[in-house]
Order: sequence, then structure tokens, then C-alpha cells
Amino acid sequence: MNITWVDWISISPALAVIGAAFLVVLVDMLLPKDASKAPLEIVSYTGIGAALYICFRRLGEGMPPVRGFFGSVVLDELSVYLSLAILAATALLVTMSGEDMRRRKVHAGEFYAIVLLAAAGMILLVQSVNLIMIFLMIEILSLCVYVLTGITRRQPRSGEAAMKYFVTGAFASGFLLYGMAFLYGATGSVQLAEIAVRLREATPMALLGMGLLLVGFAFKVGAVPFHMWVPDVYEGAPTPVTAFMSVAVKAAAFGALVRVCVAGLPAQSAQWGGMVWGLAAATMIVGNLMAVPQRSVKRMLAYSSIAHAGYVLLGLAALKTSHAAAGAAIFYLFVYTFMTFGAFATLAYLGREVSFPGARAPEWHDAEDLFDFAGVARRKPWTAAAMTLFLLSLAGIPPTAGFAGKFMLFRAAIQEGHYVLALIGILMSIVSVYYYLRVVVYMYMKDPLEEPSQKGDMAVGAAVATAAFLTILLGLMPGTMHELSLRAMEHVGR
Amino acid sequence: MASFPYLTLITFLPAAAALLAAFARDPKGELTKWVALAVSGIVLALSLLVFAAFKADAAGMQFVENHAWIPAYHVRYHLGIDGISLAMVVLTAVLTPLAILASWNSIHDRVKEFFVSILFLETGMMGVFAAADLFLFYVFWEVMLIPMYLIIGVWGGPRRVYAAVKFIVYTIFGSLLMFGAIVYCYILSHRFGEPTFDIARLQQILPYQLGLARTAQAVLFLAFAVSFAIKVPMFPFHTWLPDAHVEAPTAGSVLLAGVLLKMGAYGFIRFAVPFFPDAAIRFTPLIIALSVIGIVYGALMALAQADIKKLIAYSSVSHLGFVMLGLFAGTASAAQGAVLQMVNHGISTGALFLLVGYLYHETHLRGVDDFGGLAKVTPRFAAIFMIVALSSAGLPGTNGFVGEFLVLLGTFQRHAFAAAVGGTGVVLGALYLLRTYRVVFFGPVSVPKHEKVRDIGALEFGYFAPLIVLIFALGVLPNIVLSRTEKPVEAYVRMLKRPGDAGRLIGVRP
Repeated sequence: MNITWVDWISISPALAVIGAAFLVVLVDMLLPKDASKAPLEIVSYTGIGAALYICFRRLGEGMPPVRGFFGSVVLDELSVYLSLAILAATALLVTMSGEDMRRRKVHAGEFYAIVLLAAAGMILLVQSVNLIMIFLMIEILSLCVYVLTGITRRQPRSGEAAMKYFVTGAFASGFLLYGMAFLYGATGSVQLAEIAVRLREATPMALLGMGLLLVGFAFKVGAVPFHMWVPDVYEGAPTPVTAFMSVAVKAAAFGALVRVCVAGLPAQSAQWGGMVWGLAAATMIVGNLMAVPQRSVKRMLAYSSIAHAGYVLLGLAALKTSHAAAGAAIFYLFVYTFMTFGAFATLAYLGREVSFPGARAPEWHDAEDLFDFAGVARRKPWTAAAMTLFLLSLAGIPPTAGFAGKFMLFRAAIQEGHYVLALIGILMSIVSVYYYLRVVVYMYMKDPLEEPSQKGDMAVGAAVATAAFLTILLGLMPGTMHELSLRAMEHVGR
Repeated sequence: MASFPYLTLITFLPAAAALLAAFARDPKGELTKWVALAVSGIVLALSLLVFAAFKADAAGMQFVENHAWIPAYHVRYHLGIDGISLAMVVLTAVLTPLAILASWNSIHDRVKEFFVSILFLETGMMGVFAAADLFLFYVFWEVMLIPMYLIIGVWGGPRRVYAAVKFIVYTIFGSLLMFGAIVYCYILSHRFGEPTFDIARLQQILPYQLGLARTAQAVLFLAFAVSFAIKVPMFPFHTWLPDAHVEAPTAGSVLLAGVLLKMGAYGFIRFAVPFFPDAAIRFTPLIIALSVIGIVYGALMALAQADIKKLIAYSSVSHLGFVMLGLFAGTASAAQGAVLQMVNHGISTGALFLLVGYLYHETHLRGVDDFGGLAKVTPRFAAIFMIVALSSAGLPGTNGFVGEFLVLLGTFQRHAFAAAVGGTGVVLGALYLLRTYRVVFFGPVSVPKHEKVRDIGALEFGYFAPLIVLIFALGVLPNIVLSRTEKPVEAYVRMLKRPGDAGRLIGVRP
């Protein structure tokens, strides 16, 4: 049992990120106390950049998958595709965090290191083809995200969110592990490929394992009825962290779910297809309807991210018969990354420092309430335009990325005969137009409150602009990324 | 065909200018105004060139541009126009600069953003009429909503937010249903080789889907039809219209009535009927009934309005009822009349909204009873109002007469009763317009300060003159439009007179 070069190559993107994480801790120790934290950003960028470089190389050349560590991880097109989304979200988070984290009084060294470790966990999760690996990586990324949620320790809301997330997350992990144990009991293997071979006939034990596993995943992606933690956690976490986890955690967890379904349980597609169908319908309906009455934009976006998990699940429900549907689902995850990240980042960009009577120092507040958006178009026309773009994209109005994504999802669903699901998706999109455009109403059609306008942070603005650019680019030119998503799904499970 | 990309220029020049203007440092918006006027003028010139170069006797699309866009989904950047779209493109090109002129002095807040929105709106409107690819059409159809939403919601009247939200929620409800149907059509086309979004190809394929169950056809037809009926708006989907019209600024009302409503009727001609003719034939009685109800109901509601702007809004419901009646009467003359009436309504109602906009700008009033005796104070304004009102009421010699006459004539041949009931709409139309005219312009000047209302000047004359010319030109020479729309209208009517399923089974193609 020797570990060879091939093993290291198979985890090379994650290695680059982990290396950067360790280096960040080291450099942070060597930096003088009040020195600029820019070197930490540079180290993080280097790691992310190296990982992105590896991913692009593998995409460009269409190389055969590399298996490593005794067949527990695979570097294939699916993992590379989703790693791109995860790395992009990480890079956007690092971009916007320099000044922003200082204002939130967060220690930069810890923050970058934990973000990078979370990213590494996510990348390895989408590479895992082994139940043990999957469980370990989910735990690694979850632990990092629990910490990130509570990283603004002085804010009670943040701590409460972290606690809630931790408790529900641990509960979900229990389900996952229990499901995996049953699957192992039914098949005698933890390798997805082995499980697929041995599970020709669905035994009750295997079905129970599969069901528990799905419940665990449903918790992690925030699907209804396992979504209760999402609004509280997303609202309580610092906004940049919310942006990061609403996209990257989802991409990683969905990646693992797709792989488990396609590579591990192909013969049981009828059973899990039915479960996913129900989850998708419930998630789309509840997520969208619950977003309507929200007065807090941040909470509305949290419910909207539940709703979007429903759209992705719609793709998975159609997946049992068609790889195109799964391609559409992961393409949707990709476009969802930028529009959701952009929307949350705009909340941070529009934030301001507020001095409370009796407080020692002014505290940082993100734009959360609808009233914080009143008259934004007058004060900051470009920010308002970018936010409008993200919201339109989330609502699925062309020519944005969200429209391209929805088009491909609904096409796949209709093609596979899931008319009811497609209809629910379309009707719920109509509902979503209402609550997304309400923010636009406030930005453009209400007068600003009497509050001094603060200049937004350049770095956050850069992240918003990048996300906006990608949202419009993926809307006008969805071709390449979509073809790659199709190709990625074709090779899974072979 | 011409390799010069006329349609691309017509469609995207406004958006390009809008982007540049948005980046320019122009806090007062003076520069943007001029840019908007110049660009919409260039677009008008280009569209007139296209109008002149258009070959009336050629079948199919002209000025075609066809490039790959998203190859994985067979989505193409495919533009092209036939006679009907040509008429709509020119109408849009004429009305946009007039709307810009009408906003010249009446928009004071966020001037730059307003004209940028108008330019984006023009791109969307042109794209809807020029698209020859269903996907592309849908993109423009949706893109156009956002600037109109902002124009109503930001620069509108007191209840603007309510009106804007109602407008967009109604429209998007329809268009997302249509979106589902579009995706389904795309998948259906796969049975006949490469799947496609090409409109001409879908028009060939979809009517011959013998395997397509009647229910499925009906559902698809309804998905398209409801979306377009909301836009037209047909009774009972019209309730957003009075709100949107009343609250929108003048330019918004003009373009909303002049162009956006036509998109609904255009959608019926281009998509709903040719794609699913059998379902269209089945639903014809319903649509004719709703159209006739719309004609009479709209006219009666107009009669009851105290607000002139609301009166015109309801008169639009009535006039668009004529258009829908003509489109579904199943005769070539009725359909020709309907298409002509689409143009006429754009001109006359556009002009009416401009007139009310002017009156409101000068007096800040627009109730019928707020005025009296204005003919003495503002004779030129009164003269123009008279011409426009008569054209809207369909006086012979003006454009409105030819359209309404053709519609009623054509309808009478097949649906005499509908034509008879619809005919009362003409009478009622004359009634509400002339009654309003009498109250506003004749008699003594009711409000003392109205003695000093300014009569129209050079700027206003600049935007009324072209419309007056068009009113008489189309009244005397309707053939400049009719000759160009003849071919596509005949093709459209053939779809409504197809042999039944049995005929097609033995290979009879209409």
C-alpha cells in the first residue's frame, strides 16, 4: 500500500488550498500586530489561483479521471466543474473580506485560514467516491462553516446562529452516518462503485440507508422540510460568510448528492427519484412562499436560497432518466453561485457603521431591512443596477444567467415528462418575481431615509462588480459552461 | 438579401447609446436627452430605409440575419421581418422619438436615467418584432418589461408603485406560462429532426403534430394565448391597463398604448395561431365573444370616466377588441383591417396620450369637467385634438375609418352578430370622444386661470405634426401598409381556415 504521485495529483486542487491555509497561519504569526493584512490575502489568492489553474488545465484538455488514495477520491470533470464554482466563491469572499472583516472586528489570520480549509473540504467532498470520505469531508467543511458563522463573537446574533447551525448540523450528520451504516450493512462496501454493483436488488435495509442518507443531505442543502435552520443561520452569520456558505456549501453538498445518486445508487433511481421529487416540490413551494412576507432582505434571500435548492432538486428529480437533467442542475449551481453571492455581497456593500447609545464603539451593520434599500438608486446608481441584475437573475428573467439556468432546468424537466414539477417551478418563479422586485421598488421608487450615506468599501464593490459581470456573461454566453456540465455528468458513474 | 445588418442596428443602437450615456458624466441629463433624440432619429431613418427597400410581393422573412448563439440548444441570433413586423417596427421607430420629445420638458427628476430607460425600451420593442427565433423573442419580450416597469414606477403619478407592480406581475404571470410552452414546443420539434427555436420552422412543424393530443394542443395554445391576451389586453385580463396608463408618464403611456399592446396581437398572429391552428379554431368563438365584450365594455367604461387619461385607457381596451375580432374573424379583409388597426391605434391613441400629457403639463389637471372653453384659449391645440379624436372615432378620410371598416366588413361575412354588436363600439367611440371634446373645448372658459393656458408651440408641433400627417396619409392611402402586410396576413388567415384533422390525414395541406 504505497502512496504514489498519482494519489497526490488526484487531490492537487485541494492540496494547493490546504497549503495556502497553513501558510496563512504561519505568515499571520510572523506579521507584526498592527501590520497590514495584505500578505494574507496574497497567500490566499496564490493557493486559490493554483487550484483554479489546475482545474482549468483539466477542463481544457479533457483528461481521463484520476483516482487516488485507494479509490476513495477521483479528480474527474464533475469535481473539477463544481470546484470551479467553489473556488470562485472562495476567491470572491477573499476579495471582499480585507477591510470588511476589520470593520467587523474579526481576526484576519484565523478567518482566511478557516475559509481556505472549508474550501478544501468542499473540493474534496465533490471528489469523494467513498462513503467514509464523503462523511469526513462533510464534517470538515461543516466544522469550518460553524466557526465562520460565529466568527463575529461579539455579536450575539452570530453566536446564536453558529449554535443553531452546529446543533442541526450535528443532527443531520447523525442521519448521514446512520444511512451510510445501513448501506454498508446491506452491501458490505463503502465504495460507491461497489455499492452500485451489489445493490441490484433493493433490500429494505438498503432502502432505509438510502432514505436516511437523503434526509442527511436534505438537511445540508436546506431542502424542505429540513430547512428550518437556514433562515436563522443565514440571517445571523456575517453577510460575507452567508454569501459564501449559501453558494459554496450548496455546490459541494449537491455535488456529493449527485454522485451518490448516480454512481452509488443507479438501480434505485425510482425510489430516490420519488423522494427527490417530493423534496423538490416542497422546497420550491415553501421556499418561495415563505420569502414573500419577509421584511428583511437578508432573510428573504435566505428563503430564496431554499427555493433555489428546490430548482436544483428539480433537476435531480429528472436525473434518474437523463444525464442532461443533472447537467442542467449543476449548471444551475454554477450560475446560482454568482447571482446569490452578488446579492449578499451587495448587502455588505451597502452596510454602514452605526453608533448605539451606550456602546463603546460604532458597530457595523449590513443593509438588511427593506428600508435600508430605500432610494439606493439615487445615492448609488451602479450598486442599485447591480442588485437589480442579481435579483432579476434570481427571478429568472433574461438575459441573465439565472434565466439560462432555469431554461435548461425546465427543459430537462419537461423533456423527462415531469410536467407537474415544471409547472410548480414556473408558478413559483412567478411568485418569486414579486418578492425580488419589491427590493427594486424600494431601491428605485422610494425616497431615501435621512441617513448619511457612507462610501462603500472598494474591495466589496469589486466582488459585487465581478459577480455582476459573470451573471450577465453567463446569461449571454451560457454555451461553454453548459456543455461542460453535460460532459461532466456523462462521465460520472462510469 | 441585404448583407448590411439593418435590423441589428435598429435593435441595438438604442441600447448601445443607452450604455454609453449611462457611463457618461451628465448629472443634469441634457446630453442624454440629445443622445436619445439623435439615436431614435437614426433608428427612424434606418427603419424608413428598410420600409422603402422592403419587397411587398416576396414571401417569407426579409433582411434576415442568422448566426449561431447557443449551439448546444440550437438557439440562434436570428432576425428577420415580414410585412406585419415591418409595420410594427416602423410604428415603434416613429413613436419613440415623439415620446422623447414629449418628455423633453416634462421630466425633471433623474433625467438621465429616464432617457436611458426609454432607449433600452426601444431596443426591447424592436427586438420583439424583429426576432425570428423564439428564444430570442422571449428574451426581448422579458427585457422590455424592466424599463417600462421603471418608467411607470419611478416617473409615474401618485399611485405609480402599485401600478408598476400590477403591470409587471400580470405580464410576468403570462410570460412565464408562455415560457413553459416555448420549452415544450422546442422539445416537440425534436420529433422532426434537429430541435429548433426557428419561428418559421416551428410554424411548419407544429400544426402537423398529428400525434399531439387535442388537450395538449389546447393547453399549449392557452399558455401562449393567455400571455398575449394579458398584453393586448383582452377582457377580462385588462385590469392592469387603466392603472398603468393613468400612472405612467406621458412617454410611458404613449409607448405602452402605441407599441406594447400591439405585442399581444402580434403574438397571436405570429405564434399562438400558426403554431396551434386547430386549437385556435376551437377557441375562436370564445375569443370572438371576449373581443366583442371588450369592445362594448371598454367603450361603456370610457363613457363613464371622469379622468381623460383613464378614458383613453378604456378606449384602448375597446379598440384592441376590434383588433382581436378582426384577427379571429377568419377572413383576409378582417385580418388586414386588424393589422392596419394596430398601426392606427398606435398613432391615434399615441397622439391622444400626447395631447392629454400636454394638457396635464400645462394645467396639472386632466378631469373632463376640469376644463371648458379651451377652444377659445388654445385654438391650435383644439384643432389637433379634433383631428385626433375624429381619427380615433373612425371618421372617413382618417386612418381609423379604414381599419374599423375592414374589420367590420370582414367579420360580417362570417360572424354577422359579432360584427353587429361590435359595430356599436364605433358609435359609442364617437360618443365618448365627442362628448369629452364638447365639454373640454366648447362653452365658456370654466376656470378663470385657464384663460392663460399656453397654446402649443414649436416643440409640441414637432411631435404632433408627424402624427397628423400619418393620420391623413393612412386614411387616404392605406395601401402603403396593406400592400406590405397582404402576404403574411393571407398566410395567417389560411391557418384559421385549415381542413380538419381528416383532411390532413389524407395529406391535404392548406
